[in-house]
Amino acid sequence: MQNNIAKFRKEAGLSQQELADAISVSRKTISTVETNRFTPSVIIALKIAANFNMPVESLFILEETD
Amino acid sequence: MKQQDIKTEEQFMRQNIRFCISAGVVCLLLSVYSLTNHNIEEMIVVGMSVLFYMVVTAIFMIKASFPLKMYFKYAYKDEFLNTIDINAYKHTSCAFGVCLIGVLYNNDSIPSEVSHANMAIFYLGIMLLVYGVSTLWQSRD
Repeated sequence: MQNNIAKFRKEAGLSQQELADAISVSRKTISTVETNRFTPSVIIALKIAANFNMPVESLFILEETD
Repeated sequence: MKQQDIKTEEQFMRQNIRFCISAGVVCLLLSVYSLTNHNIEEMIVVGMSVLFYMVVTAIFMIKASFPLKMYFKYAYKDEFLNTIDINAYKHTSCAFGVCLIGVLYNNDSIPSEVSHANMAIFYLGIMLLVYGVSTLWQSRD
């Protein structure tokens, strides 16, 4: 599963720590989600989407192998 | 969950990684040393030194403002930290199992002078080292 979190985060001018603080997770959660090493729970995915005011589908993209 | 709690957990995990790796290396060195020299008295001295080191480190971690209750919790609140902690325990269990099988199959090549204490420290060292390295590897940026 790919995601556009890093792209939208940079567009919003947020650091990983600022985004982590906004949704109450650790900075490493954001870091590893952005590099596709950790698949977040639905709760975290919804929190990230709500933080950017956009639907979850535009942040996370399913691949054919998923 | 408060952001302060998450930062405390992150800091706690960092300290835990350092503690596990250093204690694991010390325990392995100790067990290898005692396996090659078969000197029980010296091993007791070194063993007491390791115990002293572990106690000092534990006091340092408590003094570093980690609440004592963190040592008695079995799960991190942060989802990512909890996941890598569970994975690290799985890796540790696998390493312990491999060690046990290895010792079982190489039973004849282990000298009879090797005590249960030597083997216990060897297992402890392997488990601490694997837990520390696994957590360190999983929490890389």
